[in-house]
Amino acid sequence: MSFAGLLDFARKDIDIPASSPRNLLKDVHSQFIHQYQADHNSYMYIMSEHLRVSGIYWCVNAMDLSKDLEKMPSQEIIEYVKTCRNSDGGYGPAPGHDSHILHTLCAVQTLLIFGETIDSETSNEIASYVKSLQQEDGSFVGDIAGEIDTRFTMCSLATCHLINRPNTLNIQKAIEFIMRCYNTDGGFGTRPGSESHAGQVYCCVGSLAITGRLEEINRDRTAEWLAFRQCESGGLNGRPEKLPDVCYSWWVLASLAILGRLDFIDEKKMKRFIFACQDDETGGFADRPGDCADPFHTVFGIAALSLFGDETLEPVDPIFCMTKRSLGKLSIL
Amino acid sequence: MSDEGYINSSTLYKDNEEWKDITPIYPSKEEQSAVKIAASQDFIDVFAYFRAILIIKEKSERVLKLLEDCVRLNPANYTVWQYRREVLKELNSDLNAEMKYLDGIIEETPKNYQVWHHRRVIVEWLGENSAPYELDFTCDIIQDENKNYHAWQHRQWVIRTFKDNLNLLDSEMSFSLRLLLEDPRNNSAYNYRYFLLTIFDKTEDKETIDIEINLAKRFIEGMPNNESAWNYLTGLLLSNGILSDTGVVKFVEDLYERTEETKRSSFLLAFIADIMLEKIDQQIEAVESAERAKQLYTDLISLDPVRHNYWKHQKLLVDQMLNKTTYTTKMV
Repeated sequence: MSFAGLLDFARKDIDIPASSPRNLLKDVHSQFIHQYQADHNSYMYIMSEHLRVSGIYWCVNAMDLSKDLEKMPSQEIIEYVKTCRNSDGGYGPAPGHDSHILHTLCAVQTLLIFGETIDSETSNEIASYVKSLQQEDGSFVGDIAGEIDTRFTMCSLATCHLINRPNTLNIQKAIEFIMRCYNTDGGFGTRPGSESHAGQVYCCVGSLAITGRLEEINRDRTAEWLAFRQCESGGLNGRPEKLPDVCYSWWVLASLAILGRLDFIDEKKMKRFIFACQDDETGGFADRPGDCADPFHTVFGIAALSLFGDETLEPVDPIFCMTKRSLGKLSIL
Repeated sequence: MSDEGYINSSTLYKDNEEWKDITPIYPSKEEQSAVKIAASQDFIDVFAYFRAILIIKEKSERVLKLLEDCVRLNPANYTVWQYRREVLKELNSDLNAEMKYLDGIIEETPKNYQVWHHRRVIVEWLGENSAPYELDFTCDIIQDENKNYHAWQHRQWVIRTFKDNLNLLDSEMSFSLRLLLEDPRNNSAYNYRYFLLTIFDKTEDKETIDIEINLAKRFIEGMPNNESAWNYLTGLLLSNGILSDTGVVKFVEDLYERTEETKRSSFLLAFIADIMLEKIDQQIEAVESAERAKQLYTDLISLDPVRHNYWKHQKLLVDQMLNKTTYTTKMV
């Protein structure tokens, strides 16, 4: 075999260790999450101030999906999230931090998961904050720094949907921008011309679904690109020739579920990979087998398993990554 | 921006004479008590002073140093970067020195959204003279990690912003070709080529597209299992269809013929099946093409079992398309 031939078969993937877990270790995950958010003196807690509201959503959502929401101190969390609200109507990651759309969506999601009603005046203020992020070309910035990213489009549309202010934004322009980020391989990137990336595909497909515009794309072409994210190990990567990672299990699977093509993924192999990413001692999921667990990969690992209909978990909504239970009528799929 | 910041930072701000006029703001009793954890002591101290500065809006050289400590401890804090820009502007600071500082930060944390965004704003302030330096800098980062999304995106932004003033198409095409020769599976580099074709209005230019198609063929020939090269080829033919290029059709049929059955790549089979779908759609030997497409999908199910459901779906699609075309023919 030639050297190029050798390289040809050297695709990037991982081996699943034989000793890794083979089923869902639900109870240790609940412990992991509970401990994670309870210990306010931990090094991790203090160092993660800049993403705390998102972190709270990951933890709360993981517990809701695991049917363990009552183990979370709801009043304490609701009050904390409310203190992260700024005068511009948006939410920052922690009190005193600038508003950001990522944390604004996570704040709204967290409040809804706990069944908290967001009053009309607050909703109007949140909506006007989100509206202020939309640019003339239809794109969205994430905060006053002005970075543009299709993630922010998805978060903006989702926020306005969840607070029942869908017509606040210029939907037509928003979709036009999303379609400028649609690549010839069927995927989407962060901005026009940017490389297709599974996380951005989720955001763009989600944006199209929220606005009822999925007919804008060739579903099969996008689904094909997504199906090709599955590696031999069963895990999913975010781009060609990148290593599989549990968080892509969510972004790829949810996108396929939105497109009605979840079966393009080999479910048995996929689950084997996700299970193998669990830490059977500390609890939680890591990005890939053997790495250190964290709440981010934990919520997306659990959510992915829920998409496959795991009966020990609450059913998840593929667009909003929340339980169908907490969304009620807000669920649109 | 100097090394001094790093030396000073070993001492806590709360013990520093030069900062005694500022009352630090600790957000909670819990965090204050957490000072006992050695690793976070520095963090809590620095950010307590940062909060205090944000309120009084002090803009000074010492604040720039404080912000460097904040960045050292947490380069992802976007409020820190936002305030840094306000201070730089107010003090009319040396932006070239800022760029040097950012070189170091990005080399340490090359996947940090905030620092790349900050860099972009500084380049905007500096104007087009900074473009060549940005191309060199992103080249270095891409050398270290050839699919770094931020670096590629920054480079695209530089090209898009300064393309009217600089003749960049040829040199940028060479840049991406060099990367592809080093790693023919670099999807970011293919994407960048297509971006260049779009930005310099070459997507309708037959001569350019032919060169790119030949390039994709060369890479596929050397590595038939390369998803990125196949996607690039498909993308180039998307608007006109594969059948529009007889050279490509001949190329894949030849490749199919001269490769042993067990060694044929799934991308090759899928591509030929796509040609068959086009033929059915255009009613060219529709029945025969449908037969062949179905055979190819059957082969794909055993060759690429992970995606067996996808290939089955495609197989059903063949029948649907065939029924539709025969129906249309009868109607006519």
